[in-house]
Amino acid sequence: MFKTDFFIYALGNILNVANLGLILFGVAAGIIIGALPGLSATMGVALLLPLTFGMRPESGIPMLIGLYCGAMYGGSISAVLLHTPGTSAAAATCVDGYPMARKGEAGLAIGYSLVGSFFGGIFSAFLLLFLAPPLANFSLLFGPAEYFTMALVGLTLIASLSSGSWIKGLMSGFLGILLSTVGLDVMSSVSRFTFGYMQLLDGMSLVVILIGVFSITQALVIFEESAEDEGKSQLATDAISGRILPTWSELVQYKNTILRSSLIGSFVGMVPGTGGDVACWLAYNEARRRSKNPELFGTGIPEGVLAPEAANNAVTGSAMIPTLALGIPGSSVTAILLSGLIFHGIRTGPRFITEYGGLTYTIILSMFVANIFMLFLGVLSAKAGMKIAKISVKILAPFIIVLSVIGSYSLGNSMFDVGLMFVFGLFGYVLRKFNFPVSPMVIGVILAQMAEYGLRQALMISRGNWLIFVQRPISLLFLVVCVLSLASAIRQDISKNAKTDTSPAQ
Amino acid sequence: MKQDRITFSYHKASIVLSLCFIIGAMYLYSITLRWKPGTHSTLPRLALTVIILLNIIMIVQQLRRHDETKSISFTKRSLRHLFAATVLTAIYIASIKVLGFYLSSLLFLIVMMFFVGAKGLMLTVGVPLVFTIVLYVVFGLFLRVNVPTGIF
Repeated sequence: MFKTDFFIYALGNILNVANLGLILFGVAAGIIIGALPGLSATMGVALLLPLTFGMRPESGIPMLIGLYCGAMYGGSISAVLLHTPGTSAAAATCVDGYPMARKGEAGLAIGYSLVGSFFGGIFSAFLLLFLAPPLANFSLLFGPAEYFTMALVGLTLIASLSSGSWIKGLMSGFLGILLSTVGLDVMSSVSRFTFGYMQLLDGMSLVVILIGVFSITQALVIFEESAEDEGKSQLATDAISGRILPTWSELVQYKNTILRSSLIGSFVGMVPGTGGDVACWLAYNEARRRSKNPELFGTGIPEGVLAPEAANNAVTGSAMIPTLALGIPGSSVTAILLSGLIFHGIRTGPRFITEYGGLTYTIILSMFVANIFMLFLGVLSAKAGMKIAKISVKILAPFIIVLSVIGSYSLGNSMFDVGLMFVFGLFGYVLRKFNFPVSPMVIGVILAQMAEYGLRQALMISRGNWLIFVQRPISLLFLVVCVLSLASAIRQDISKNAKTDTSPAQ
Repeated sequence: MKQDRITFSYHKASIVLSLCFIIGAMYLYSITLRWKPGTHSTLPRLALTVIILLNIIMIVQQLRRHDETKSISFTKRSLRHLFAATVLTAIYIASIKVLGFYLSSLLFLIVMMFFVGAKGLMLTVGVPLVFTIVLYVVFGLFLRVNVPTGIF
């Protein structure tokens, strides 16, 4: 239910000048990071996370949310100007954004992208405000058995829906679970997989893993790729001129597209494992399917920019719904946000909203503020987009490495963490080369805490009887969802293989 | 321009990687057998069993498909870049204890700027210097992170 007292407390928090400044900084950093092809929202949030350790979570997390929202929009700048999406969520924006820019409407294309992003973001923020608290109330019915099976649902959904093979997704998720078991077990005082390293007794910090697999891996990929495709990207125009924002009457004719795309993005965002990259294509295809002139899509029309951008920003708010209400991070970015909360000793999970109501509403309100700032900053910085898009990302890679080092060091003032982060960076690179999705691993680390607590408590209650997981109706329902999601992924895999086998040889 | 390429069979490399995961998981499983009995071993064993099973499935899939058309490919230049960046980063991390964080970061950034082909004194020295000063202000003064100071 909507809690007025928490809402007022959160409003006071958010309207604090320092917090507003931090959100503004986050949005600005997000737009720049998003606009640079090769730097993702996930990497940006992972790099900025250590900055929040010295802040209250009510200040630090909104800054990261600002970055998340800003990066989702920022990705469209290079999509429009370079035909290269700054983030994977802006891939569909290239299709019509770039032709618009080639026609001399680069500014207007960025403007449509900005307005679409704003409406999508605000729409999903409203959903978050009204859906997360009731869902959290429902989750109060859960006991240990449900915690375990819910974590399994999160993991199997993420694994089966993540890009590439479901086996690799699941494998990555269970690797994450295994990593989370390193360290001294608080219940039995047994040290697990520490290999005599005192530094591992407290376990591996999720932040160290995150920075390694997202930032160092990305820096290595940039070094590798920069050696191959120098000068590939071509700017669509020499300068951004003319108006940026579309008029109100222009926007009104696309109101259905904006609303539909926001709904698609919100729905996709709520499902763990799917994100802006899926939402943008779904919304784009739906906009084309319902258009009176589908043949115009791809030639540079505003609808083709509005649809994917409204959808990918609608993901930001709705992905926070399972994250805040159930403790299941829907994406790698929300997993990092959760790890920021965990660093501050906050227990995330189904009871988070009831135990930290003020913080929850602060996070929700920061979504609204971030989107408003994004609109203003987007208009002011649109013409500078050209300068951002011209920055060579390979120049930035060394700075990413230095920020990764100081970020992982500042966690516990330990060079051991820095070494571990580097090892995870190399490991992440190998996983990437073999098409293993990394997000399930990160989400696995977070879910493992809930899974292990649920598993052990449930087995203690049932005196070791594993049937407890099928005897409780909600737990049984979760297990059915697990089986169904895996079965559907296996079925898709089989039909894909059958198609490959029957296709004529090249 | 045609570049020399170094190519590995994706099929064979995937099998080798899966075998590494299986051997590693079996070794870790053997460690859990040495722990005193209790529920602390349930989740690690469950995760290790699933990892072993999934890798067996992946090997079977690779053997059935036997797709030799897929490959992991590098140009000699990209491999050199990757190797050099990895080694330089390792040296940078190792040098922090000796030279201190700020000095080693500055040197690393200057070397890397030359490495990535940045031109002009401003970009190769000026930007790293300003960035290091910003790091000092944010992490040293504002967040009060006690970074290693090295021998100086």
